Amino acid sequence: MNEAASIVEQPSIGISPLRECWRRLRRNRIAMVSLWFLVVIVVLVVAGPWFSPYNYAANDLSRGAQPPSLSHWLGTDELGRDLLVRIFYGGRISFEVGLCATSVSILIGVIYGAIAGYVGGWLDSFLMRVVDILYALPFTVFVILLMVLFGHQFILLFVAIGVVSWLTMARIVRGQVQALKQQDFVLAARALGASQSRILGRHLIPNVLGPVIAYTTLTIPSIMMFEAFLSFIGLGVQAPMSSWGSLIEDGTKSMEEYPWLLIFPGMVFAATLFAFNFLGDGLRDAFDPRMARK
Amino acid sequence: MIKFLVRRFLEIIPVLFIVATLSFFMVRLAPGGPFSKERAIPKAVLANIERHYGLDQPLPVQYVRYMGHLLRGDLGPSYKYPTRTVNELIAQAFPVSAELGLWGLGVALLFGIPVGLVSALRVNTPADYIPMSFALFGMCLPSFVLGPMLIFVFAMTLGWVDSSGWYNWTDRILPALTLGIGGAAGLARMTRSGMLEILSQDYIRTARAKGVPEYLIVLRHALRSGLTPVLSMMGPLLADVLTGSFVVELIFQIPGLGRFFVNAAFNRDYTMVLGSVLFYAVLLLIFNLIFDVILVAINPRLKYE
Repeated sequence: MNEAASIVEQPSIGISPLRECWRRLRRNRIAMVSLWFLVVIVVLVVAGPWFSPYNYAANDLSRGAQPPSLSHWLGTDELGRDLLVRIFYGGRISFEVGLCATSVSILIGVIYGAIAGYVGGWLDSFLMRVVDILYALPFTVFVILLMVLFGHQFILLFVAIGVVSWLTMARIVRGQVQALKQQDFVLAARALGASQSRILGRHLIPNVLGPVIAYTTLTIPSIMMFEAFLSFIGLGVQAPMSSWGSLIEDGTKSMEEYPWLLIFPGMVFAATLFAFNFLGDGLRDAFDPRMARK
Repeated sequence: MIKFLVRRFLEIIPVLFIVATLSFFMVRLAPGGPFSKERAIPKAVLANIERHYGLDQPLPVQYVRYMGHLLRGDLGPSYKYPTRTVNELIAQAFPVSAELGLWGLGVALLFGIPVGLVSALRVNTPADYIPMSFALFGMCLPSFVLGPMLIFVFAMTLGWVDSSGWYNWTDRILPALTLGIGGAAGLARMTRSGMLEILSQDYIRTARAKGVPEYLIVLRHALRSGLTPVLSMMGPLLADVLTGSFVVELIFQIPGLGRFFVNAAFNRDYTMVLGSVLFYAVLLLIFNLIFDVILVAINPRLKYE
């Protein structure tokens, strides 16, 4: 019994998969630059407004639509609001939506996928068939409908986006769990009398963390993009609050006269999306060296 | 094959039923109605209007009636445009969206596949990584950033094309690019990795050893299996193009179905909203079915199950 236990425990003594992955990731320059870029952006977005003398909602028509200057680094919008501060606040919203909705989608996706993959059989085929069918639905249309009909409630935005974006996660987790559950360490755990939920929670789910983290890094930008898309068509956050999407929309309206209102938010948003995607690619390669680019 | 088709076709029906039911109750249970905005309407008139459309009936009755009409393909009258039916509105707006979609798809295929092919054949040279880094940028540049930027450069600054409208062929260029570039980038990456995988296979080496000219190897041997992942991406790509057209139609003020749908949702034009949702659902389901069939047709190792 003791022997068996020590065999089971052994992998944790060696280098953990997460640390191994981190070592590989550090060698990927683009991914590391992206990581640092994101850290800087998050710090700026969170702390920036504390150091700015301007308020994101305070109108000052006498300073309306000024080009970038020393007092307003990125200029002001037509109502005289400082663009830099609005980008900070917009970033807070964009990140909040991105993180919260992603958490919702991870929660649903991991549990759903793990159960389907672990239990298998008819339950698995039923659950996956549901996913297939949901894949085929026009979700963008549904979310638009939801947002229009039930008002622009912030919570709803998280839930609506999160609920529709768990499908791929469920597929990934299911595939991983299915492959893992046939391996010897699961057999060993079962032989030691571990309960189903313990095997699932303690042995299988931790082992799928790699792909989950990698896919999460790719989900966050796509959700931020979706939020921006909703805000762009006027369904996301409402003035005077801003998100990167609504700033871009405002910028689009006045780009002929005041191009900086479009250029700066657009650039910040695009750069953040790039960074997330580069980092996600890097993480995927780092977690699964076999998948690394040829 | 026939069995597969029939079964998949029969599966579409319950899905559509669920979509119809779900969206019907979602729309009806939401606060506000199609006529609640015009406050000037006297109570009696409002009641008359509601009776005319059957809105005074209990919800289950309305639901059964709506589903009955639906079975005959009748999507009902539009509440916003009282003289017209939803069928007419969709028939008028969808061809515009379809044309836009085809242009966008054309851009995606025309740029995506050749670029990916060249990258795969010239792997790890500038002809590979320069287009591929562009592709990565193209993939994560949202259309509502790209579209306005294109307008800014080509319509406002250079004045080559108009910034909005849908009249002559030059009006098609910018919307098509906005809609298609994301897809092109994805396709390029997909084509490249698919081709790279195939080009390292033994049967390609055999063909080379036999002295088959390189272009024939690519055209006859590699392309067919190398493009399988690309084809499997076509269904989702079409869906992207379809929903992507919402934004593009708003940016370039194109009178397509996407714009109609968003406006209808804002106006609570119940029947128009429901009609468009169902229409999109049917389109997506059919596209998916078509591409599933094509995939199996070109790859005999997959089976119609």
